[in-house]
Amino acid sequence: MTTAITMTTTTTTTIAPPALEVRGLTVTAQRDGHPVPITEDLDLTVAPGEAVAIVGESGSGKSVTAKALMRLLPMGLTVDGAVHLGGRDTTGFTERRMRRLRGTEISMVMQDPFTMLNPMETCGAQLAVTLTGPDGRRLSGARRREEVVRRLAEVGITDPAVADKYPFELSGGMRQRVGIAAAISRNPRVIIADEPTTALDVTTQKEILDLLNSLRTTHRIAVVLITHDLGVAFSLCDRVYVMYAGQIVETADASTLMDQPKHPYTASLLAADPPIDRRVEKLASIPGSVPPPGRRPAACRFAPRCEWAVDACRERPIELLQVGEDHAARCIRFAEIGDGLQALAMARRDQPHTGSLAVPAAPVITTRDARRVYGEKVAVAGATIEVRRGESVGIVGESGSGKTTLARMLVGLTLPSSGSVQVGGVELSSRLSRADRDRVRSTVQMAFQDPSSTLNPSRSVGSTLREALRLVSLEKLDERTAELLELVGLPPDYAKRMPAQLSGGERQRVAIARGLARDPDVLVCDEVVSALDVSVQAHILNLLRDLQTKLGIGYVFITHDLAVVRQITDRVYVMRRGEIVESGPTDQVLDEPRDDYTRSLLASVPSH
Amino acid sequence: MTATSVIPAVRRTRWGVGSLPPVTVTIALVILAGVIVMVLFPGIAPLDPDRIDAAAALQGPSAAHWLGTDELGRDVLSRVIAGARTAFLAPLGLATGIVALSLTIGLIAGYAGGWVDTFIGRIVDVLYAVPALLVAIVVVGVTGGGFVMAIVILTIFGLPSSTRLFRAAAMERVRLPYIEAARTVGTSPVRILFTQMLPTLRPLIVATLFLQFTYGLIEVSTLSFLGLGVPPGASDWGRMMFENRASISANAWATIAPGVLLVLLAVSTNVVGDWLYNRYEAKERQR
Repeated sequence: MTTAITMTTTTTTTIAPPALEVRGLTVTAQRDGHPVPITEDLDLTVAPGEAVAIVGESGSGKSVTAKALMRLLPMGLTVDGAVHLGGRDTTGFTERRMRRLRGTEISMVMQDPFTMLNPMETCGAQLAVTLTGPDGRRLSGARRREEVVRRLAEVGITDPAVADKYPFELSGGMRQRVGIAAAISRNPRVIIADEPTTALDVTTQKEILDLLNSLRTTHRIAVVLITHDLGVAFSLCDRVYVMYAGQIVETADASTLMDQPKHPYTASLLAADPPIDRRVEKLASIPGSVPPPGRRPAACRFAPRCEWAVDACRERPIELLQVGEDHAARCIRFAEIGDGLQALAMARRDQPHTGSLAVPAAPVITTRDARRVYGEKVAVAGATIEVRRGESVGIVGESGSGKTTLARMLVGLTLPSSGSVQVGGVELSSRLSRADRDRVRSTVQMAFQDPSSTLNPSRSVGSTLREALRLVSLEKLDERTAELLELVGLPPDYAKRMPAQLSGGERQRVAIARGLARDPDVLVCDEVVSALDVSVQAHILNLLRDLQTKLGIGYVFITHDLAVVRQITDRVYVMRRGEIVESGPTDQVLDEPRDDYTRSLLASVPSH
Repeated sequence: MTATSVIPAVRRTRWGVGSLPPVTVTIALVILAGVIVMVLFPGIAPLDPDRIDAAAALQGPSAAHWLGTDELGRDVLSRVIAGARTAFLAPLGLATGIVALSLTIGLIAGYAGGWVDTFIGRIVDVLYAVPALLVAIVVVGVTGGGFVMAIVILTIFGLPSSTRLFRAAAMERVRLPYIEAARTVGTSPVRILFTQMLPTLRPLIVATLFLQFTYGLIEVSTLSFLGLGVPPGASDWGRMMFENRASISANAWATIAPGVLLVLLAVSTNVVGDWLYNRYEAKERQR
């Protein structure tokens, strides 16, 4: 691979050594006494002030790579290869010496702003820990304070009072800023940001990305962004490395990668990302899922999922090939299939807008001024919504907007403090007759967000589904379980499996199947795709749409993702701080938003 | 180009982090198995444990009496083997009772919440404030009640700690999506408790069972050592230690043997319980 140095953000043209240079980085785990490679032979170069992204789905090895660069791997993992920091080879450095480099040469921003800071200490105290004078001594109290305030200002926190606050008193975005301030406090050359915005709302995400971007100019820091989100990668980075199953499969500068992907995986990923500006007929998806370490194919890792794979792809390991200027791909067929890949990647932009359905039908769920308070806190401040038969309604908002509480009220998991919720003509309350309760249950069902806890870990898929089916009737349970699995695209023998044996996407399918067991009119989906990888997300969205045509079922889709809203809903409610600020047909709301908040949400979405 | 830097992994024991060495577990299993054999096959005793032979009273260990004899000339070894019965069955009954009751009460409190939880919580608080063993000593001592009464009292006053444990576990699980999903589907609360919650509690149940067994063993033996519960003359380890104390200089084995066995059984059940819990936990974590 070439060591191109692209300095887009600075005017100086002196050829400095790369801030970070990695050669042949391999991380190996020991499993039952055998070495199992997690990432293999990774090469990476980042110039000062440059931002590169490592993009991959879960299981690609991107987070392990980040930790290996810091030499902060969990025990039992070994690293091979060379890591050069600012031209200095750190190979063979002792832990002691490495520790001196962390913070001063290379530093890290973590994913979860909620656990990254110590809850027992003020933000100022945590920032001051790393601060020393030019002579290496601790600073005096007043000087330290001054310095902390200056550091906070650097990351856009102009209120000095924040230094005296505890992390839990701050929002997620503020915490992430404090985390960044701590990471850059000793002027490192390289900052590794591991999914820094994944836990944040879309508007906050944009602010953090802008901040990271500005550090490249102000501090000449090289940024290595680890992310699963192509949009985030393209919005910040000059160069992108795409990882799949432990290998880099393609690398190029961002615009080239976007327009002319040379690896089928990159093209498929681009195609699978739902567009925000139009509703497409069918989302492209990649069959199968990422193979875990130890079960990866010896030849081309992507071949089993690749529609272009030929026999040669399955014979021997594929090298990273030079396919253009500063552009490498791990595909032997790049020349032949290049046009096809480009068409696939572009299809997303060229597919016509299909428009959403208009369904004039009777309402199934209505709420009137439904309000829910928890003590002092108002979760939902009077929501009036309507869900009609067969239509799909989106409820959009950031965390804390009350959208999940509203969803729970629709299925009766939470009762309104005041106002009313009617489901299938039944007014929800704590005292419902058996017949009324049955009516509610067979009208509305729910699918939950987290694929890891949506199924009981100690019960098989079949027993979970039978549990729901037996409430309708006790006849032919096994047969109906098989039918239900088939409906969500899973083979009938999955009934015998335990949740741990399923991938995240498969678990979400089972969760949807459970929701369908009572044949409801409306399925409430609470962020069902937000924890899934892009390619799997497309599978589930396509499945939900198919079910809508097949069963005539309606959805209430709770999400923070506007692109998902565009793909699946007919009407949308936008929530902010417990209130509905805007509602209407999805296309109208997303194309001509009337509320400022909706506008800012739309403007913050990173897109490609 | 590819120089090697190997990070030394923090040394872990071969049998996993924080676990006991297999040798210890094996020894504990053997001891436990031995006690169970004594319970199931009391016939292995060389002599009738209750046979009085005044001529052979207070002898030290010999070929005829391996652990010697007591004041009435009864064979100590045979009595120790016979004593395994109460030593094992009484704590077993106690532990089973405590786990069954506290599991039911704890799950109901944790799942239902609200006033049900508050009500149960207050009762548990009151029970917690009362030392079980003391109540058992006083009540059994004053009324002269027998073994069954002792077990019932120890069970009731032994409930608080495990009830709290199971309540906390239920509270933690009731918020999980799979429980909420079962509620949304319309599964009845009783069914949710039994089919959804109970299976996920297995490691906790096993651990509690073994822990309560150990407590029970010590409590029951304390009672019989004080001469309460088991009738005089019964072959019970606590009772034997109590009765043979006076003649300790003539045949120390009559006091030491039941004591040593008590300690070994208590430690072994603890070790085996720990081991089972770790195994279940590891399996659960893989899921």
